[in-house]
Amino acid sequence: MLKRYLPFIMAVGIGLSYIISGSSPVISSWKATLDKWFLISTAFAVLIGTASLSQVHWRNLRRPDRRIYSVALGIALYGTILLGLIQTGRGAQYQILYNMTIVPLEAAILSQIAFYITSAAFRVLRMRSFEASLMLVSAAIVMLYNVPIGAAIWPGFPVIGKWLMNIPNTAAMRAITMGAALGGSATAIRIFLGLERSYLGGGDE
Amino acid sequence: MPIFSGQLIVMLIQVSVAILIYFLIQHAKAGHRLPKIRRLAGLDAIDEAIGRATEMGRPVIFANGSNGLDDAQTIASFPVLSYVAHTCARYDTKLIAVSYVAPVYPVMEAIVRAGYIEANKQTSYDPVSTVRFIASGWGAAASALQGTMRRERVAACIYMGAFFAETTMICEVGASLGAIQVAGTASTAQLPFMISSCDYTLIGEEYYAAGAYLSKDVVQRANLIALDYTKVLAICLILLGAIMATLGNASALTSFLML
Amino acid sequence: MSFWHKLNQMDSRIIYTALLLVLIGALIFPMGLPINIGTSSQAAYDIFNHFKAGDILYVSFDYDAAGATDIQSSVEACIRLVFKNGGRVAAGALWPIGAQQAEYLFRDMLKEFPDLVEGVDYLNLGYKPGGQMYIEKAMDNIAEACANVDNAGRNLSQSPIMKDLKTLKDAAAVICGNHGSPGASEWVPMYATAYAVPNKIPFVVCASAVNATINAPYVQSGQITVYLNGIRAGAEMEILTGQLGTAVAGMDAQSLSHLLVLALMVLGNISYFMVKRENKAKKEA
Repeated sequence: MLKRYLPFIMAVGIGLSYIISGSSPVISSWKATLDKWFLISTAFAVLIGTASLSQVHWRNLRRPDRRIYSVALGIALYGTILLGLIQTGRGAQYQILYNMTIVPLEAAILSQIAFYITSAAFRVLRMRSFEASLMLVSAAIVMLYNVPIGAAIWPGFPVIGKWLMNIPNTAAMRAITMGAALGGSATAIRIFLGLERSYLGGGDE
Repeated sequence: MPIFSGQLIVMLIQVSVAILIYFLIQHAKAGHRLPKIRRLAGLDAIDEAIGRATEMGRPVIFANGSNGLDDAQTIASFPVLSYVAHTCARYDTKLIAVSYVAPVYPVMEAIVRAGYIEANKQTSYDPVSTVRFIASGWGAAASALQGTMRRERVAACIYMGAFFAETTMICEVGASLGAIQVAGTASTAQLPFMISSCDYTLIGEEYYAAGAYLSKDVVQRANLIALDYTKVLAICLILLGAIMATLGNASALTSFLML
Repeated sequence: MSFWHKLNQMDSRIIYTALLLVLIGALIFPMGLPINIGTSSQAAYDIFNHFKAGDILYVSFDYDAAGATDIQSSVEACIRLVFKNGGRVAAGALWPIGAQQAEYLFRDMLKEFPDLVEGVDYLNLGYKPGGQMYIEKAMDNIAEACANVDNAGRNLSQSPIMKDLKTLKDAAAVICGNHGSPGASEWVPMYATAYAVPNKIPFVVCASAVNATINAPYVQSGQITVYLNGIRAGAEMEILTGQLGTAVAGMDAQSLSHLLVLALMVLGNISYFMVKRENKAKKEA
């Protein structure tokens, strides 16, 4: 029962008190304390990540089809941690490791987007309806606004592209952002009022 | 003064919303009818997607994004995961729920296990293959998700949460496999990619309404309706501010809101 | 299956190959397409070129190695201008790998400005968890927000630059290199709206192109003073600072790949309508 209700009581108590302390100077020092706790717990999330990853891949060592990948991950994970502890992030070997693995790998993964977007543009941007046509034309104009060759083809592209970004796009983004913020507040209020308990695990009982 | 300067109206709105939520919940519990939630095609499509996967004998994949438990989007994905887990368990459809944020993984495991228990299928729940912690970070997760989707040849993909740059990659892989894709997010940067590649997309607030819509719980619906009234208030204030700013005198409204 | 049907369902691998050839070709055989300097890049140049000696620039490296391809060139150009004018730079990061990107950048800057002294002219404060919380705390006390240690684990009191940077309000300008969250969305309410806008302190965001739509409302409302969008802004800043680098080198590839995408969009639509017409003719027949 404690396992079920203690996290719930903590979540509701801390959440509500945080909101009140943001508005009231009577308990504003409590907010400063909570901020410090939040910073500490966020840093600890990195430890949880390492522990979770290790646990999952320790289990995988028993499976012959996944063993080699888990071993590779373990070497990479603990090797990097060890190197970082010995040298800190400024050490020469750490820098080499970072520049030779993380940088090219992350850049390579992000660069896949270019290929996928190209195939998506061919497959999806068809004039099936009025709205789809509008999306197609806007996409084309904004693409030409974003590259130097657009202005070289026709000076009107940067002008129309800028207008599209500043007026219709900004209006839509403001609306979606506000809606999303209100929705996020709704979820937060549900947690503070104890109506939402799915984060405790076990669905929302 | 017990309230910081500039916070009075904010506090009043917060208290009013809380009172409204409480009132509507009591109203609903007393058996009175609440306004209906409009149909959300994306959420209705979840049943269709799981049904299709069941017919084809291929798995359903569920991913809930790259943010942690401190993000409302992640919390909002849990009711959907609960529903998907329960439905997949009921129809004996293979579910692969992937997580790439460490603190979220144990919560997802607990939710999926509970879904299987609710459907009386606890014996068919395999924690190792059903809920997977595939990577830490969006880059590695993008690769892992693409590989998992292709290897398992998923028939339905459900993406609910805060996604980052991995959106385009996983949506395109899903499209190339011919899978039904249902997405929901409030990450505005990823919406265009989801809308173009996925069959159904829940945008912003629609995604946050998912829990209330799927669970059909009156308390959740009352909460949703209360927040909709708050949105109406926000719209009225925006319109009022726009008119007053156009007339060259928005300072009165600003001063009032900053009391 | 007719030609139009085949074109309509073109294998994605053909598209990927075409894009790869265009990109590699443009990188190996640069065409030197003209690059116009936009108003944003000119504004950023004017801000940092007028930095006074001793002024401190705070840079938040809120991106990882993937985002660096889009963002690092414009951040580097701005920092180069500050160092040229005798300014100082303090770097923090809301993303863990951001701290590494800052190390990377300062190491490159030292090759250009070998007289720079760490702790005096520049300092890497390192990764600071907490996002918005960190910014809120740093507005009052940076040392406390940083737990009094920098990226190398040294006490901040050992660095003379921190004597003049007690809070974020002491910075003459702030740059946020933004690739996602936490990033500009956290800086805008905590720093830009609360302090920078009322006090007319420049808040510059160097962001990857995908974030342009999200940040557009902040630019329009003036909460972001200057917005440098993607690798194109990086190329423009490189031209303005006279130090051509990877951003300029990538412009031809960017332009030609965009033209390829447009061509594929047109082709896709032509094949769509031709297939529709063929299907209609078959039905009528």
